[in-house]
Amino acid sequence: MTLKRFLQPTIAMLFCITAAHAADTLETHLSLLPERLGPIESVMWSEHGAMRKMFDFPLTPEGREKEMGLRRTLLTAHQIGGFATLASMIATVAVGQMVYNGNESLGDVKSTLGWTTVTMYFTTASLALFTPPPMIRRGEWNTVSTHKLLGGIHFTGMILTPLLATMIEDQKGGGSHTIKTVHMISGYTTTVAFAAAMMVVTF
Amino acid sequence: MENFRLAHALLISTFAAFPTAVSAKSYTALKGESRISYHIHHPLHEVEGVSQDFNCTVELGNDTTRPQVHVKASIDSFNSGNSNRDSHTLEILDAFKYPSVEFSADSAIRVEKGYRLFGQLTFHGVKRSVDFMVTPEYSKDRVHIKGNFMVKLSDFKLKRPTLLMIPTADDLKIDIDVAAEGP
Repeated sequence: MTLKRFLQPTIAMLFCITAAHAADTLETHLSLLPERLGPIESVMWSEHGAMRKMFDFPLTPEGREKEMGLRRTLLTAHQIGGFATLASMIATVAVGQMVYNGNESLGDVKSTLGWTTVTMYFTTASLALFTPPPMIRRGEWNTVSTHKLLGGIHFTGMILTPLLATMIEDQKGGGSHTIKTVHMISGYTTTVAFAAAMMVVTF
Repeated sequence: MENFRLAHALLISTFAAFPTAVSAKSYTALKGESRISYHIHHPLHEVEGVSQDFNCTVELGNDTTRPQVHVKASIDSFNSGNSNRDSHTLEILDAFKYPSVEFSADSAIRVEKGYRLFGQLTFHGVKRSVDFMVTPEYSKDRVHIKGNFMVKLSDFKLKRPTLLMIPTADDLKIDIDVAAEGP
């Protein structure tokens, strides 16, 4: 009876301690880098990436915290650059349509707007491409995946459209009507893909 | 020998101080069947993040006004369905420095449909008192506890996350839905 009276509270207390301990021993799975890194991220930000070797970016919790600050700054600039680039792109398409319709006097304005758009576009893109990797990446399809998919379309467009513009400028007589039409379609497609890529992140 | 006597005396006095422990019931949350979720409003959309991987224990003695509740969830276990957004959340929460969110309650009052639980929420390294309603439903050897409460991000020294430079609301709603199994 004495033993039972002693054992009952002992077992109850041990149970309480074990239960409390269970809540304390929670493991966090947060790694310094996400499991999946893109090709540019691997070259720049992996454990032995270029940024770790060439600059002061140690792969430590404190270092990654600073990288997250840099990531936020670059991505905010990427968003602002995106709006500015879209405005420039729409202006280029509008003026380009006028030139295509026969208003040749706007040719220089269109050319200036076009190269401004190209410069802004690649500056904005590089802000996202060279940003440090996120803290986690699960690999599910999400709005950023769609943003990147559309990015593939407008990136191709931003290579093709200026290339066609150069061809038109280089050809005698201002290029063939077919090249001008392809250039116009490419410009519109790029603008629509770019605007959609911006919109999709808000969903 | 003197040390042994001292330890024994301390042990006996400890047990004497907890007379209800003999009938204490301990419940542990069932992972996969329990969930904690947060809800936050952004002008462009509502966000819900869910964790189903957290530890929760509830100790119930004879005195139901003194339950021992302990919940601990790893910050990175919350999934909003968009890991890019979750990564942004981890940045805001300084997840490397404060990897978990914790709630401990040690008192409750019986109200009409359940209990009002009083405890401490530790989030982003800041501890604050919170109280909220929970409604337990008992079955054979299980208890199903549901409840929710609101906190303000600013109370926990948190910056509001932004999307397209537009910040979220300051209010964060926490929903608790715990299925716990007894001994």
